Amino acid sequence: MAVPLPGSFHDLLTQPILASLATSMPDGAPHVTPVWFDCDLTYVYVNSVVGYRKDRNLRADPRLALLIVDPTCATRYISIRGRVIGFSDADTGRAHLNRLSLAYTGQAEYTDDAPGDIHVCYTIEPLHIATMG
Amino acid sequence: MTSPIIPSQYADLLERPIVASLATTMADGTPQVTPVWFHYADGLFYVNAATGRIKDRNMQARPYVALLIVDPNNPYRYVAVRGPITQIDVGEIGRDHINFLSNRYFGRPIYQSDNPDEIRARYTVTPHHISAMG
Repeated sequence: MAVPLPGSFHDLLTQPILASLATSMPDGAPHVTPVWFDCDLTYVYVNSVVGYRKDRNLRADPRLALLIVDPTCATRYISIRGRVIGFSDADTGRAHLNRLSLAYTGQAEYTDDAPGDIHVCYTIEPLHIATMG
Repeated sequence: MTSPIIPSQYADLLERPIVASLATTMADGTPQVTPVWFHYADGLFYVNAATGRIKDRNMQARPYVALLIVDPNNPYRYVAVRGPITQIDVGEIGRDHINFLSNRYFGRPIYQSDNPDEIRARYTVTPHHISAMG
């Protein structure tokens, strides 16, 4: 059951800020990488390539944590613990990637892929929110 | 690229006072991630926390972390470190370390905390896996 995302942090959730995504390795140890994201204020959406480490981690254990730090103030942030409740098909993954590309780079079509990369959009349900500042 | 060596062309990311992301593991196995100050010296990474905080409890109980340092000028360029917490120093070393970090990040040699009673700990992370991108 998704917990509400706090209104006082909607600004961080609706800007193209580089977030940090933490997932669990097969042995339970953490793994963290930078990610693009967007948010409809109920769910958070993150994109990746099928077969990447974070993708393999999430398919084995869908629990994750996502950190978004205010680029103007490092002591203000929102840290979400949640889980992936949906792994999209390739077409949806590609469309989502292009939306993120537009938001983050101004380029409406993402072109930095390796040949054969299949993209996936993760629908993330927030389960616990921590905020600072 | 993953190896225990940090390529020299990424050395600046270890020197600059970049706010890093520290991932720890909750008791139920869920990941947790927060921003941290850090410093790097002689092959080891050091982070700091007030005792009793979630990251402290996680690192004490499950001493294995991941640390992400992204170039503030280039989001495609970063170093990600994974490794065990090999030492935890509580008290005076922790307090000296947070003051060191306060100076490194803010130019303030005494860390100003909201809680004057807090106890500080310094955590030593020994890198076992390093990924460097961009």
